[in-house]
Amino acid sequence: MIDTVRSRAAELLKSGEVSVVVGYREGRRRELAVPHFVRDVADVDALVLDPFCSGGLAVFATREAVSQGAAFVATPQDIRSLRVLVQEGQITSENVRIIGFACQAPGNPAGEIRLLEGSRLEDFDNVIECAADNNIAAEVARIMAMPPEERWRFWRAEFDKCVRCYACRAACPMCYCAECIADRNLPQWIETTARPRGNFAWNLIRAWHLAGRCTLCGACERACSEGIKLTLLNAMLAAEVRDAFDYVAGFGCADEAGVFASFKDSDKEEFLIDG
Amino acid sequence: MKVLEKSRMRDLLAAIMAAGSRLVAPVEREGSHRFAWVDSAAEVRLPDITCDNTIKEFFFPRAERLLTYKRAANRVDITAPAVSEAPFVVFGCRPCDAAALDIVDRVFNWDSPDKTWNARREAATVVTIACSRADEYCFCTSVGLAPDSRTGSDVILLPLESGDFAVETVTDKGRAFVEKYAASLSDQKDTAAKIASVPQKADATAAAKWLKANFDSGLYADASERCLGCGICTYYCPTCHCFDIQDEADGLSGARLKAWDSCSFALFTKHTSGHNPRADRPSRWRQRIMHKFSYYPDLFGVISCTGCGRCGRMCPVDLGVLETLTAIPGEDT
Ligand code: SF4
Ligand code: SF4
Ligand code: SF4
Ligand code: SF4
Repeated sequence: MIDTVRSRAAELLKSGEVSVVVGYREGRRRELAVPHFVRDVADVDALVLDPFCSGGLAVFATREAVSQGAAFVATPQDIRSLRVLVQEGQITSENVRIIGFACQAPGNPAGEIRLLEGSRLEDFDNVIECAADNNIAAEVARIMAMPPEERWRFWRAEFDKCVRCYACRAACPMCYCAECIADRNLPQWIETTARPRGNFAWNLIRAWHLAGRCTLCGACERACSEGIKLTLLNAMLAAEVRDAFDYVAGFGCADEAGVFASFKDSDKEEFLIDG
Repeated sequence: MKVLEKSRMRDLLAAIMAAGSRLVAPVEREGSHRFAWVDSAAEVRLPDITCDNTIKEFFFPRAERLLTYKRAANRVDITAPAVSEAPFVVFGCRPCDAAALDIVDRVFNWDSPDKTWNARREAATVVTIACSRADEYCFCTSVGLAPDSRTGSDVILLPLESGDFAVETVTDKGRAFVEKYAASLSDQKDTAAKIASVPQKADATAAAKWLKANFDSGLYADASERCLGCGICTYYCPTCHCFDIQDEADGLSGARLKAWDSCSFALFTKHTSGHNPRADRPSRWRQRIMHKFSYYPDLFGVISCTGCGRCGRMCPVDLGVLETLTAIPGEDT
């Protein structure tokens, strides 16, 4: 299988379709394959593919050196993330190629991997698999069943851990803003020190800005140095968006505007008009 | 020689707290070892390398109040918190943690002594455990330290084959500590300590020469290509000490805070004009490397890295300074 990945990488580079393949190479420890940029055909042998290739490489797609033509060794979530980036006008699908794979148990050494058919983003209109989604749905239900005060305490305890390293933002494909609202200081919108009030504001704003855009790739939570349950928060917003607008980020047609960048007659308006 | 028997470690910790001293020691939280304030000796769990976080936060908190203010009619009342610290013991940090205190002492006593850092340093007794194990990220021996370095410690515990620890005093403060808690220690014949062997992975002193001569090297762009630009390698580094000053208001009152900051952030060097002298990732990565291995040694005579390995271990993309050090031409050993 890795041979297929390497030969496809080599083909894409040789044909000039892309100038870089963003994949994985072995890291210092088994549990973490590291992002690797292959620009030279001779280097494709460094690429690896195992259950520790955890996804999230779409974060590099908006970098100037990559956006000009790159192939991504991509999970289904990564493919969806790239589709959102196309939707939002950050990259053009012309410049993107996919070497897709899905692992049925990511992070588990025994997790089975299979390669996905297709090469261009349009080839993945029906990529709907998402291993983590079911587990997280149960967790969302558990949190939503809590009385509001308990839920408040739960999140308060989570956000109190935050050190404001912004690794969640740095690892997120959709956090591409040239200037994040958390960095605005004229005026300052979000307090920057790692104290409860600013931490709450930061974590909520981060999640809100990803509603309808987050593909639940999990890169933020894996990067978080304090193990804050970011995927859970993201999944709660994703569930709201799905219930209100029947929309899931990255599934729709890549040319169609995102849920918060478009208006349909069928959009619910209970929050505007009573009943 | 004084020995701390493994089975009596919790007695010692309980005695420290019973004597009215506060205690920082490793605990376990959601699968991660953390240095934390502990209320009971039973909470303490020693990891076999070091903890994920550093002990710097007990000396240089992630956000600390410098003053509080309150606006009244025609005036502003300002209150500065008193700089005084009750004694505390840091137990179970590693030589790479303790050595960092000695490194940071220098910058916080450079032009204007940092009162709160110094007060906490004064108040703390540092009881370090030498390492009997190292992982693939450890590289203390590449920066002139060792798994049993004494720098920054008041007492060092040397692990013995039996699991007990030989107790060695390093400073006067350490001697006082050992005398005070003698009842929790026993006497044993000299036994050989079991210290980890940490291979030398780079030569930081030689690297410093190359760094100075190659400021414009393309190495930084290559080395930082996969870097995400987060604050993890700064906030979990025991020697990183940069901070920001922020005012946070609640209506007409508020506080001025000193809070951690990181050279990995674009905002760190952004001028009011909008110009940013470190506008891209490679120049920010260069700053990180140069500060630790060139500027700091020039200014203070020590490398600002203890080889603890956290910048690799905690990094979401397994980067860290060691990879760059070993990529310096001709400097890998
Ligand atoms: S918010 Fe987290 S899970 Fe969602 S797209 Fe960004 S990194 Fe992925
Ligand atoms: S990665 Fe975690 S600790 Fe860092 S800013 Fe994000 S939520 Fe906070
Ligand atoms: S080296 Fe790693 S920890 Fe440091 S800024 Fe880059 S991604 Fe974050
Ligand atoms: S630079 Fe890395 S290895 Fe050196 S002291 Fe800091 S975290 Fe530890």
